[in-house]
Amino acid sequence: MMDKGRRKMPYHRRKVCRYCADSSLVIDYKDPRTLRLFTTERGKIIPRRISGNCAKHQRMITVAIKRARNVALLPYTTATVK
Amino acid sequence: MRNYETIFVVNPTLGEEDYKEVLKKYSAVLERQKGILVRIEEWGVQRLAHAVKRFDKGAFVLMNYCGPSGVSSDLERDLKLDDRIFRFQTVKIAEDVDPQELIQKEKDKKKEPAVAQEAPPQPEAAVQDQGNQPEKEVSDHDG
Repeated sequence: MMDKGRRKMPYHRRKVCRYCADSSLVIDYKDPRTLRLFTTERGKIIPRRISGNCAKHQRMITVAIKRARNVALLPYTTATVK
Repeated sequence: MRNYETIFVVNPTLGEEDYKEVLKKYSAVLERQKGILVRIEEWGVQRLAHAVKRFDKGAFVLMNYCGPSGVSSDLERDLKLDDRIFRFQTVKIAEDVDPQELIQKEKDKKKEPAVAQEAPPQPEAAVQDQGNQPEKEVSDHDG
C-alpha cells in the first residue's frame, strides 16, 4: 500500500521434512502418539504446507492416520467424544 | 511368502477364559491356513479414540504372520462373523520374506532389551548416589 515498489514478504522459513532428515524414524499406524502431531485438535490431518513434510512422507502419514482411525486408535473427529 | 499384520479389537467385558479362547481360536485358524505366526502382541484393554458398537474401551490384539497370498481371507471371514470382535484390520507389510528369519529376529529383539537393562543400571545408580541427595532437599523446600 504505502511502499509500492517493495512487496511485503511474509516471514516464512522452509521447513524440512523430519522423516527425510532422520531416516531412522518410522511411520506406523500403531503409534498414535506420533501421528497426533500431524492432526489438529479436531482430528483433521494437517496439510503438508503447514506440517512441512515432503510429498512422499505426507502420503505415508495420511495412510497411517486413516488406518489408525479405522481401528479406533485415532479419532475421526472430537465432536462425538465430547 | 508374504508378511501380514492383523490387528483386532476384542470386547473388553469378556472374561479371561473367553479372551484366551479367542486368541487360541485365531491362532488355530491361521495354522489351518498354513500361515506361520511370527508374533502375537496383546495390548490389553485400552480406551478407544471413538466409540465402536457403543463401547469406549477395547482389548487390542496384534498378530504378525507369514503365509502365501490369501492366508488372511479365512481369518478375516471368521473375525467378521465373531460378535466378540468389533474391529479388525489386516495390513500387508512385506512380500517375499522368509518367516524363519523373522521369527529369529523376534527372538533376538526379546534378548536385546534384557541385556540392555542389565548393563546400564550400575553406572546410573552410582551417579545418583553421589549427586542427587542435596538437590532433592532443595526441591522439597520449593514445594
